[in-house]
Amino acid sequence: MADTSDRPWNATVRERVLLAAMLFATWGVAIEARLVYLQVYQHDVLQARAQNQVNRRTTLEPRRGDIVDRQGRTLALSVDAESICAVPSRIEDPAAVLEAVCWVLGDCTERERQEYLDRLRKNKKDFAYLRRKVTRSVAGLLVAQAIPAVYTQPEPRRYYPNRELAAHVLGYVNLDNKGASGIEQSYNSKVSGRPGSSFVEIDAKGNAFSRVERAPIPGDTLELTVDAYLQYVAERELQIGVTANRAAGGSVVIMDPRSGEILALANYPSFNPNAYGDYPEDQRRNRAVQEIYEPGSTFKVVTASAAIEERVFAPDDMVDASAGVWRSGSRTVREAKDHNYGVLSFTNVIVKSSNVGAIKVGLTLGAERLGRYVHRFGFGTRVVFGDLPGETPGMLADPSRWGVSTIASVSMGYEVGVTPVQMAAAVSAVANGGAYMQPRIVKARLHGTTRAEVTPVELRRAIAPDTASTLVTIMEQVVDHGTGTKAQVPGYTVAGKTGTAQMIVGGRYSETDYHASFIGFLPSRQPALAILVLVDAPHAGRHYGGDVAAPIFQTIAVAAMRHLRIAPTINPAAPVLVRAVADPVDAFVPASNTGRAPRVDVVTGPPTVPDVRGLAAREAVRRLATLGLVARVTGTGTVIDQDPAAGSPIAPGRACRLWLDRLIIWPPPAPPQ
Amino acid sequence: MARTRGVTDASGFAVPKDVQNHPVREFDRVRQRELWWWVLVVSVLVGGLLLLTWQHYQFTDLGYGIERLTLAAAAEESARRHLLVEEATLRSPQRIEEIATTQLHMVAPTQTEAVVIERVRQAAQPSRTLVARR
Repeated sequence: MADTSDRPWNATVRERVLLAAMLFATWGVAIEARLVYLQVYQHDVLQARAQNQVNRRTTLEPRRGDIVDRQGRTLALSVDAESICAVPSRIEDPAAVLEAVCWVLGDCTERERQEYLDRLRKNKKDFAYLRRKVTRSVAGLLVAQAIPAVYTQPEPRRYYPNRELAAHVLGYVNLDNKGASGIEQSYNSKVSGRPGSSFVEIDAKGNAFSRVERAPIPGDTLELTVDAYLQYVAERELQIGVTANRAAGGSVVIMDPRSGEILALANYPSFNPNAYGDYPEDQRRNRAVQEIYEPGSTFKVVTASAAIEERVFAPDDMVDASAGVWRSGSRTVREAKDHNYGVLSFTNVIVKSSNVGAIKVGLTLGAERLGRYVHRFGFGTRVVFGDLPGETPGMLADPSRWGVSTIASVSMGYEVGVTPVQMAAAVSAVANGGAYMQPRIVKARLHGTTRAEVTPVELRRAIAPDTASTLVTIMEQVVDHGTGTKAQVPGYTVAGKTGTAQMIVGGRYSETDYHASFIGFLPSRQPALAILVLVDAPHAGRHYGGDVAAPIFQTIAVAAMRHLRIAPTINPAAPVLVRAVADPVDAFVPASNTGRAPRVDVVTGPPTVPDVRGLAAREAVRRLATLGLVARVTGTGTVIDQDPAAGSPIAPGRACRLWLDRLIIWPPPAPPQ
Repeated sequence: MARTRGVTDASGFAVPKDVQNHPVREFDRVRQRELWWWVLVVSVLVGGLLLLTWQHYQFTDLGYGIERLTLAAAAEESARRHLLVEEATLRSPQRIEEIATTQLHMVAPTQTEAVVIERVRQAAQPSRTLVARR
C-alpha cells in the first residue's frame, strides 16, 4: 500500500479546491443557463404573462345624456348602479350561495331562484349575472355578507325620477342601456355618448398605480319642448276625465301654435318607465302618434278652411241642411241627436256642427280641392319627423279615388284616420294665421357647454291669414254659444271645435263606442296654446265631445293660463304704474284714477340672486353689483354657470361665483325680469 | 541573524545601530487626484441611481395617489348624480301637489285671487318693488 503520508499536502488541497471549484462552476453554469433560458428563450412568453398580470385595458362606458324639460327640470338621468355577478367555476355549493343572495335581495321569485341556480351550476363559466342594476343599499348589504365568488360591478342605470310623467314622450331604455322607446330610442345615438378606454397598471394586491385613459365623451343632454308642470296637469286632468267618464283611455296634446313646440303629450293609461316590463305593450304605446282615430266633427275645421280659402263659401252664405238627413244611394247620414237645422249660415254649419251642412260644403268643394287642403294640413304624412319613433302617417285614401260617399265622409271627419298630434298641428295652423309649423319635441341639444337650439320650421302655408282669421271668429262662436260651451275659460277668448265619432268595433261602426274630442286654442286672438283632448269610448251616459272632452280642455286651459302668466283677454286689469322706493311705506303712483284706493302689498324679504347665465361678464357683474353682491369671475366669455343659483336668497356683500366660457352657439335667454 | 550596520563603541565591541527604518510615505498628488476623481464619479453614479430610484418611487407613489383621488372623484360624482335623482324626485309636480293639498291643505288660487297684470314694458330690476292689487 502506498504511503499516503508521503503525498504532499498541497496536492491534496489542490484536488479538493479543484473539486469545490468544479461544483461551484457547475452550479454557476446551471444558474446562468436557467437565466439565459428564462430571459432569452422565454422572454416573450414571460413578458406577455407579466403584462397580463400587471396591465388592464378596459373600456370606459360613457354617461348617457340627461333629458330635461324646457325649464331645465330633470326628466331622465343615469346614475351608477351595481349589478350582482358570480364566478360559477369557484362555487362549490350553488344552493347555499343562492340562499345567501336571495336573502340579501329579499324579493326573489321562484322563477328567479331557478334561473340563478341554473347559472350558478355552470361550473365551467367564470362569469354570470345574477341580478342587474340593484340599489346601492342592496349592493352594500351584499358586499357586507362577503359571499364567496359573488361580487358587484358598477353599471349605469337610467332613472326617471318623475315616474309616469311624460312616460310616452321619454320612452325607456332596456337592460343594455339602449333606447327602446320614445325620445330615448329616436335620439339614442346622440344621447349615448362615445366610450373611452383606460390602460391601468396594477400591483400584486390589485391596486392601480398608473393610469392612462382616453376619457369617454358623455352623451348630449336633450332639452325638450315639454313643460313638466303642463305635462303633469294634462296627465292629471286626462286621468280624472277618463275615469269620471268610464272611458277606455285618452290623449291630450298641448302645442305652441306659433312655434310647433309640443308642451305636453299625455296618454292614459300610462306606465312607469322605471319598471316598463311590468306593463303590457299596448299601455306603453304612444297613442298620440302611433294610433289613429276618425276625428269626426273636429275635421270640419279643415273642410271650412278649404271652403273659405277657395272662396266657395263666405261666413254668411246659406247652406241648405233641411230635413236633417243626407242620402246617397243606400247611405243615409243624419244630424247628431236627429236635429233638423233647416237652412243655416255657413258659420252655423260649424257652430252647430251640422253633418248635412258639412257634407254639402264638401261636395261643393269637390274631391280635388278638399283633398288638397287635407294634405296641406299635414294629414296622411308623418309630422313629428323622427322625434318620436313608430309614428304612423295616418290613413287617407287617394283623393283622386274619392267618390261622393267618401267626400261626404271626409267632410265630416270619417274615412280619414288621424293621430292626435296631426290634429293638434292642423288646428295650430289656423291659430297662428295659416302657417303649418312642424311639431317637435326636442328644443335644444346640449353638448358640453355648447347649446344647439332647434329652430322652428314652417313646413308650408296651409291657408291665408284672412282665412285663418275668419275661421277663428267662427270657432270662437263654437265655444261661445255652440257645441263647445263647456270649454269656456273665464276671462279668456277661446276658439275650438267639438268632435264625436263612432268607433269601429268588429269591422262596423259601433252604436255605443265613440271618440269624443275637443280641439281649441286660447287666447283666440293671440294664441299661446292649442290643446287637443281625445277620450275613447266614454260610458258614463255622455259621449259627445262637448260633454266629455270640452270640460277636460277647460280645466287644463285654466291651469295653463295661470302657469304661463297669460293675462286675461276679456276685461283685463288696467296696467298699473309702480315706482321703486327705498321706504315701502311711501305711496306709489297709480296710472289711472279709478276712484278706488288700491291695496298695496309690499314685497319684502331678502333679495334673490338673479339669473345672469347667458349674459356677458360686464353685464352680469353690473346686475349683481346693484344688489350688493360681489362677483368672482372665472374664465372668459359668456356666463355659463353661477353659484349661488338664480332665485337663492342672499345677503348683500356675499360673493357670487361666475363661470365664463366662449360658446359656439348660445342664444342668450331673455334677461331676468 | 539581523544585519545591522555595525558601529563599534570605544571598547571595540559591535553595537547595533539603531536604524530608524520607518518608511516615510511620499504624498503622491497624482494618485490623490485620481482618488478624488473616482470618488466624484462614483458619487455621481450612485447619486444618479438614487435619483432615478427616488423618481420611480415618487412616480409610483403619485400614481397611487392619483388613482385614489380619481376613484374618490368618481365616487363623489356618483353621489352627486344620486342626489340629482333625489332632488328631481322631491321636485316632482305630483309630489308637491300632493303635499300641498293633503298636508298643507292648500288650494289652487282662483282667477279672482291671483291676477296677472300685464307689464307694459320691461323695467330694470329695482332693489324693492311695490306690487299693487286691485
